[in-house]
Amino acid sequence: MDAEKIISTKKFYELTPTEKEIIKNYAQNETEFNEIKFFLQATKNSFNQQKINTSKSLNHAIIEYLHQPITQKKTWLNSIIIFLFPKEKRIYQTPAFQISLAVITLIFIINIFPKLSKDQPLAVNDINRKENLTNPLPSDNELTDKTIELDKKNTPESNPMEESNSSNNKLSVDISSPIHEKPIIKNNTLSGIEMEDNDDIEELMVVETIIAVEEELSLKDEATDNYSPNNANETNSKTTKQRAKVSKSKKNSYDYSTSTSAYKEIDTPKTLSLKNTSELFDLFYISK
Amino acid sequence: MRLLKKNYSKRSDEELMSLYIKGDRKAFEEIYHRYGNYLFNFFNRKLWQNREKAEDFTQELFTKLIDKPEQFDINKKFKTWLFTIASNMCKNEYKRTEIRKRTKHTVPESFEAKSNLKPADKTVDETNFSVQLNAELLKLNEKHKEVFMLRHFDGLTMKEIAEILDINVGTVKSRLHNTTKLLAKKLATFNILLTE
Repeated sequence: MDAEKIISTKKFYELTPTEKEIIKNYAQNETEFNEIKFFLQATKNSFNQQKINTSKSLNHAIIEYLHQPITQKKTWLNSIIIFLFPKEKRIYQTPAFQISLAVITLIFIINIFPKLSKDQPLAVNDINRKENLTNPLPSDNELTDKTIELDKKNTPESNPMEESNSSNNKLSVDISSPIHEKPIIKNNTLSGIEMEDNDDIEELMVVETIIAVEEELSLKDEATDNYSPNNANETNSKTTKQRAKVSKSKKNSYDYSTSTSAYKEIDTPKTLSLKNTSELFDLFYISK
Repeated sequence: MRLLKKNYSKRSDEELMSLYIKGDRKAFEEIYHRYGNYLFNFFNRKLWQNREKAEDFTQELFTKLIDKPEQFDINKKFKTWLFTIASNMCKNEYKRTEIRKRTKHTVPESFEAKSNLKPADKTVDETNFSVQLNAELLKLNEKHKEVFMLRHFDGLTMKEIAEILDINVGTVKSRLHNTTKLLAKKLATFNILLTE
């Protein structure tokens, strides 16, 4: 039994030895027992008087809240507004103000600061420039090779499906070989220039042959006009050089991009018959 | 309907909470009926007899319970859990307003001990006893006072007090003995006057 309960319910002379043992921390004699008894009773009365009841409005509010539908209780938006604009704080202390200030600062740093920093004479990284100076510019041949390469990429043949087929095709492009050199025939294919139509290649060859024959004739005329035994070797070397120049310029001036684009619509086999091409090349080089 | 209500009143707090978790709102009404006044008085006492604040805190606590009843562990004792939450809310309020220090050293106007207390005579009644008791309580150590109030004002058992304050039952007993004996001695004059 609880000591306080014993004291408040019983009188001192009614206590058993065990009960006296229990209450000995509170009271060891009758005077102390009575003091404690009075104090506990008076305290109980005092606290009961001090106790208050909840107001009807509070009871009503809680019961009403209890029976509200669950969806109405989730007023999270209100809590956000309360969080952003607390009433008890000053305007510069509100989270909304501070967040907006941080955003403005970020925008300033991202957009305006780099522009300002550009004007300042800061250290410049010129490594690329030095590398460019040490590496010579590419030669004409390299450039023409690259243009062919680019042209090849731009053509519809460059898509993977057609490329897979092109491995079976007899025409293949050897980029490493300059275009003004004699095209190399590999496995009955033309390397160096990619062509799509037999007729076009024949046409090109015929044109070049005609040009070459004309040049040959004109050079011969010049040679006969200015012939002398001393400068015979010179004229020979000159003619070969001029011939090379002319053929090169003619070939370089040929617009492959336009030619390939023009051939797009023509759906013809890419292979060239060995007979036709070899005969044409033989004719071309014999004429030269 | 009356039978149904009786049925609720016979159930334990833990059973009612488990019913409410399952969706029985009437079960929570019974819980509020049992502890509404208890907690309101507890908050009123702890929050400097501020009735409005006590109402706000009571409402806040019960709305929390309504919204998140699953936070209660059914294996634990509901009454202790409820008072622990209430006690923590008060502690947060103390921290927030930083008034705890002031209340510790100053006495609110309504509970000031009468300095020109007349010599004890038969006119001294229970109201004076209450005033004197509150004045003496304010002079006490906060730990001793808290144990005493939880025991005599809120009517909690020593075990419950130990659980709420997270201390041993032995500590609760010793604090309670000391406080009761001290206050009984100081207020013994009222015993003589009232019994004469």
